[in-house]
Amino acid sequence: MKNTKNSQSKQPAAWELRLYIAGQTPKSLAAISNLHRICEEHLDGQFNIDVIDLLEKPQLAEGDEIIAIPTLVRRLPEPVRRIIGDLSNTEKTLVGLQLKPKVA
Amino acid sequence: MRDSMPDEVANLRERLASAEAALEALSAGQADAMLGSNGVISLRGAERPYQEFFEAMNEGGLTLDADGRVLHCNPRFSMMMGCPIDQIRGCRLVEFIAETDHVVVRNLLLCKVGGSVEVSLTPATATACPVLLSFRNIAINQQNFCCVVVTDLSAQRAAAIEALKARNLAEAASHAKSTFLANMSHEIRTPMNAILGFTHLLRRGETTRDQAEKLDKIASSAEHLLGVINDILDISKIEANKLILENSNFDIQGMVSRIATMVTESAQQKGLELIIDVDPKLGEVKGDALRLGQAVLNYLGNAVKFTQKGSITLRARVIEESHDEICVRFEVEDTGMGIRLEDQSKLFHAFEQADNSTTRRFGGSGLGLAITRRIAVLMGGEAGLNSKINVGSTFWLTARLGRVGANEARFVLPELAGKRVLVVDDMPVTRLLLVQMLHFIGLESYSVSDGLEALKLIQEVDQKGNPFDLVLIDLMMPNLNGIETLNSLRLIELQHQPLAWLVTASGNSVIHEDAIKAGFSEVLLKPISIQFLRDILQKNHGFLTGQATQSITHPCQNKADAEEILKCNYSNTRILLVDDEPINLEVTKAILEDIGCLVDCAENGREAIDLAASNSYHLILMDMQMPEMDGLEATRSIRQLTDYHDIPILALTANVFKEDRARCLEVGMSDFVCKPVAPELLFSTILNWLQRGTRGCN
Repeated sequence: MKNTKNSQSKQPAAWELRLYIAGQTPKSLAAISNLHRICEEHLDGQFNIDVIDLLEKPQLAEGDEIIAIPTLVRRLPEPVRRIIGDLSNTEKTLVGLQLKPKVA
Repeated sequence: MRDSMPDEVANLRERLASAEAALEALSAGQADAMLGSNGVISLRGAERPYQEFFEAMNEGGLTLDADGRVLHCNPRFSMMMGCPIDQIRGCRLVEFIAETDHVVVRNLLLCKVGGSVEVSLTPATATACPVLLSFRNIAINQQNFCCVVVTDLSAQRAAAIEALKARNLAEAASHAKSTFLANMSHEIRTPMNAILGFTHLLRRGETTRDQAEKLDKIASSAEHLLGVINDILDISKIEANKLILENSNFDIQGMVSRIATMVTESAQQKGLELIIDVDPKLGEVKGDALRLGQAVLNYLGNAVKFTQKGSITLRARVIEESHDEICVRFEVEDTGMGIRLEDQSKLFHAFEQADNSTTRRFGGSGLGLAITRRIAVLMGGEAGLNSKINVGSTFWLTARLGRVGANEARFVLPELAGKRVLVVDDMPVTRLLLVQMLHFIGLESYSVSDGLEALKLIQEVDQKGNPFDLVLIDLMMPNLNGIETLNSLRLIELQHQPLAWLVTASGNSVIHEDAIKAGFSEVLLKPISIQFLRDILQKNHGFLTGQATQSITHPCQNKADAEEILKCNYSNTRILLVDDEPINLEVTKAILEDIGCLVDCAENGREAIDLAASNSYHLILMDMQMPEMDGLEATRSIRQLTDYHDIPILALTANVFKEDRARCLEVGMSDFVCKPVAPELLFSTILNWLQRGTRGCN
């Protein structure tokens, strides 16, 4: 099993990401897939992904103020960022996560 | 400039941006649902049941993306891996699988259609678990996913191993038992044979009638017991795979005759007709004559045992031929009571007879059929039966035997080609068989079903100038029986009276005497094999080809009377006796003079020729091995003398091989008498030849 708490890395601290899905809908699945892919490519092992299925635990939607699904919440590093959608647009996602500067 | 705004405004802006993004995402079709005002997520309801299936099912379920990454797994898979779902999500499938299976899993992931494969799962804390992965690759909205069902095979595997163990144990036990029995063979048979042997010895000695009866009972019980023990040992040997088949040349006709002889007497006693119908093309083959005979004899014996009236037919046919093998099918058909369908399946199984009461009524071990089937299978064939209640049963078996050259011509007698034969028998099957066999040997054969018809036909063809050479008459016929038919025939004026042979199933000597007295020159005992028919035709070929004439009014006598007849009717017969051994000359001369013959002796071929030239003899007895000139040369020369063309010259020889006999016939010898000479045989042979000649009674 993958060790998500890798000590050797370039990044100073691990990212905490939360992905809110609702069951195994195509978009939910796509979101999971895309998120993992992006993280593997851009975060060099320093990340922790929590997938929260709101069909199972709908009460958790409150904490992060979820209004649409899927939603990705970056909890760490701060500030908290929210990205709605299946994350299929990598560029946009990277911008949303502040891994890439926004092109004006 | 935004940074200098108060926090609340910043917060509001944030929320607005969020809402905008949400709306955007939704309208762009990138989000699935919205949280309703009542806090309940609304989703397409139809998906719910499938979700439930997935979560609840007893098999492991995985959803993978195109890279083989686990997007979701169900609780069962999590249990299999001994790991929470969160830790499984995001990992690649191959991380959970043994390295040796990685390649095949990757291939299946790439495969458009999907598939299944058995792999080893590597759980966190347990040992490797055999599982079946069933892949289904799907595409939704142009994105590829893979659904995998993981089935735990460990229970199945364990059960299979247990079953195999149990089976091996059972087989070993059975094998041990069979081996034990096979080894006991010697231990059991030896004392049995002692019982039988000494019983017979006692029987042959002096016994009172009461003792003799009791000994007979002991002997027959012992024989029965030996039969049962042999059956049991046989089947154990077969099951212990200790039965090794012989592979040597043997003659099928001979084998069939041999086993038919074993049941002829009991068939006769019950009044059953025994018919042998073996394809004449079947001759010499390679295989195990003893076991094949045993297999067929089991059928034949059963047929005789269980049939009360009618007939039993033993058939043998070639059903398949190849370059070095023939497949022969044997059938034993009876007119017994038939066997019920429910009972048929039990028959060939060891230790089960169709009905337990049959053992008590008919005896036997109940193993015969099982043994027959196993022998047939060992010989590359099978065994089975067809049966109809109240009609009869046909038990069959097939066997593969090695081919030994072409044998088709061996029964053909070219010297009798075209000779005309009439078969008279009221049973259609026997008629047909005889006609077929005669035809195969090369004779022209016809048949009628009763005596009156026969007399009519014989007269007809005789008048047309195309008479019969030989007529075979069955004894038991309605209206006119065989003997009555011949008596009538002999009274008719014919240009050519055919030779007459009687065909009967009865070995009764009184019947034979009556037949001979009536004028039959041979009595043929049923069932008649083609080999026997051929041999007896050959023996009589002289008559049939007209090389010798048979005196019709004085038929051959049976051996016991020959001496009497020679004494009464043939005294003063002049015989030339040729033998280089003085003692033989003395003994044979004395025997012949004792019955009234006049005997001259010669010690070698030259002397014989001289004597023959200067005297007139009725018959010559010629030894074969002599100095100066041997029997063959002497005969050749004597035949050249006038008056000696037809005189019977009988060879006295110890040689029984075909080649030697052929040579004798070549030089003109008429017959053979085996050395050492048995008086009765000598008398009957001499009588035979004297009767054929022109020398009549005095």
